[in-house]
Amino acid sequence: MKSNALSYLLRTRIRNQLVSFLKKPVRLIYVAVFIGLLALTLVGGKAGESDADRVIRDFSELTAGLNYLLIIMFAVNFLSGLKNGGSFFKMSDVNFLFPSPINKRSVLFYALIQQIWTTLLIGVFILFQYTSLHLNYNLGFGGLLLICLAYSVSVFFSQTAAMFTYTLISDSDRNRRLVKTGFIFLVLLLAAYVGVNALRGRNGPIEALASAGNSFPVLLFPFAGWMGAAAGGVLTGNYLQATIFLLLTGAVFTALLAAMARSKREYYEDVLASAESVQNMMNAVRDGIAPEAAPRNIRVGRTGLGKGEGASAFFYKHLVENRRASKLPVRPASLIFTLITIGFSFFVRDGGLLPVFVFSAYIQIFSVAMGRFNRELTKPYIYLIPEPPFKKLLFALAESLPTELLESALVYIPVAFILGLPAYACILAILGRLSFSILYLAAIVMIERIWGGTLSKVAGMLVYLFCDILLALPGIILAIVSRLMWPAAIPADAAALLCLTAANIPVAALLLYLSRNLLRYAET
Amino acid sequence: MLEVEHVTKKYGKLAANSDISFSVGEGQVAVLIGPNGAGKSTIIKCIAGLLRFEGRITVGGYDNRSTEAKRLIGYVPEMPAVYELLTVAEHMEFIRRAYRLPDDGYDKQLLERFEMLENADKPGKTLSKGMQQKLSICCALLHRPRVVIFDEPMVGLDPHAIKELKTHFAGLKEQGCAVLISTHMLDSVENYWDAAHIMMKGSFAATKLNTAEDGGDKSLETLFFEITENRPSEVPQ
Repeated sequence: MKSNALSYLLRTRIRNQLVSFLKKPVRLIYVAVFIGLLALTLVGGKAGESDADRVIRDFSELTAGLNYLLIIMFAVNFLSGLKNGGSFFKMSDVNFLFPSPINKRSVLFYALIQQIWTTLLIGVFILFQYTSLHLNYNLGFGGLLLICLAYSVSVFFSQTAAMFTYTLISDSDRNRRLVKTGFIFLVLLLAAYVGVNALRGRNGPIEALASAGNSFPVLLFPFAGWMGAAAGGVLTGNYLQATIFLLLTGAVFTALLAAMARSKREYYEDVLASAESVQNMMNAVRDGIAPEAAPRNIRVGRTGLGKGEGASAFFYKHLVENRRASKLPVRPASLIFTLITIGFSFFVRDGGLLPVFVFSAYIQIFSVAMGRFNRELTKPYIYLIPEPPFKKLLFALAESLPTELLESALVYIPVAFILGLPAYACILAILGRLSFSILYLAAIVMIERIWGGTLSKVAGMLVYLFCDILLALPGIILAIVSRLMWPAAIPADAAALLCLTAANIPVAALLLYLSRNLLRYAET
Repeated sequence: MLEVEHVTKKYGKLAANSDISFSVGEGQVAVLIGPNGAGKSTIIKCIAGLLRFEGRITVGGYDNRSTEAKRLIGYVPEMPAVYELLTVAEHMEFIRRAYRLPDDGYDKQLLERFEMLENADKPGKTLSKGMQQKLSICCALLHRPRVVIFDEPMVGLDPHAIKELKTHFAGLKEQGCAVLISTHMLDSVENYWDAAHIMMKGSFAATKLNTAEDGGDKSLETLFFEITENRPSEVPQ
């Protein structure tokens, strides 16, 4: 009867989710858009098959890349889970299930089953890489699905392993530090191994990285390496390797579950803080407040704004907030985006600057959206402070510029070395990237001006993506037209960057001016 | 000091406020009371200049959306408006700079009155909800507004802070400020109000003045429950 309560809960939740899905036609539109974009990716991949210039790259690069991705995501999730025990439970679970007479092991398995469904959705974004993976590595859609599955399952393992480890060490700061340090040491050791191999490689860094990424030290990394090895084994037809690593994963995970179920330790207390934190975040989102990416323990350090009068106080306040939000001068997520872009430039280094620039401008869509402006709109001060609305708008956006300039330099100085670019091309790329930052900021302001907070998170993101593409069109058209009219005036890449920058800035300025009264009201 | 004339606020077809008119003079305390969903917060947000509306609202004779009016308004929102990454003292510095105020030590006086001075170096994230609410109040009062609007100010406060806030209401009244307080907690408004507006379904269902002439035989509480529970058809308009 007691275990039936959990299966009833699980069944009812899934059923209600499906019913709510059907009751909200807008969600069906999201699915249609998703399928449409996916179809576009598939068609794009198929269309490029017959390209005469198509070069199929070494498949070991793909399997190595997969292993690196799985290990990085495992490490990030595991370290995050070590801080608070992970977020397997919601507050409703804590309030209703924990005090109930249901066996805590049953509750644990109930949470694990829920989590599997959640994590399966996480890997979906990989499906959109079909075009590039198919064209470069001749990967089929089945292979891509396998990569998605490996990614999702690896994330699930990282969360489960973190939760179990947390229950063992949560009552001792010393043990927590020890495990955290040990894990970081293991990751750094692996990174050093890969780095040394990359430097030693005789056939260039890509081949060396691919070779190191498929080597045993990488494949033996717990769970992530094993899942990578299993997926890689299936993809390359090495079924023995796949079977061995799948069996290893299954055995260790079963042992982990058995240890968790038999553990005398009460995990309820350990997951409480994270459940509360998730609940607070959900409440904040429901109330239209973007959750602050504040560290768990804020290091106050130097205090005071020091400067600013009137609207400019927002700019100096944002600088203080940025300093406290991260120990690094750039946001952690932006740093990851930066590293991904630099890594991408390695793979397309024969194609010149433009492919890297296009990729960086695409990734930038997400990094710009993480600025402070949207959060500022959820507080009343920006509307209440007696300053002209346009002035407040400009100063509230200004914080993004130094951050974006720094990030642009962090991306393009290494990229310039990798691609062997002249200094002027590097500067043009930095300025071009900055112009896209301003364009995307203007898009955010425009969306706020038109829709305010009425869009859901998914709809808001889709509208933002669509607007970004639309607003970038003048620059793209200008670049194409100038190329057609003056084909050999200046190098193609530099001309394209100049045209994009020249078009982006006035488009953004016009949009900002048209939205100058945005801050007169908290609604549109 | 605060004039609200025929204000209607609609969300699509739903009228959150319908044709509301009232005023709060210098040195007066007005309260808006009503059940949840009566439209109290909506009219408060309209006055604070956060929402669009039909009608007219003036503060000290200025349109409430003007810069001049904003200098005169202090607004304490229902949800404490606190920046997680700024310390308590930095909140006060930010408001002082944004409002172009002199550094005359009033920020410290306010923090001291609300027992927040010892938390001056704590980031907003680490404050309890009650402390966040006290900080939100300090921020709203720092520029010495002439019209102060409180939206459910007692929620989350400890008894000491509630007592201090009530003392502050009296102080603001003495200083000649117009004070408007929205609440659904009848016992929190006690007897320091000059006018009480009972709201139902977006409109004023009744207005009671705290004067000898308008004393009547019904207490505010009796009137409130008559309106909200028993005889809505007999509500005086």
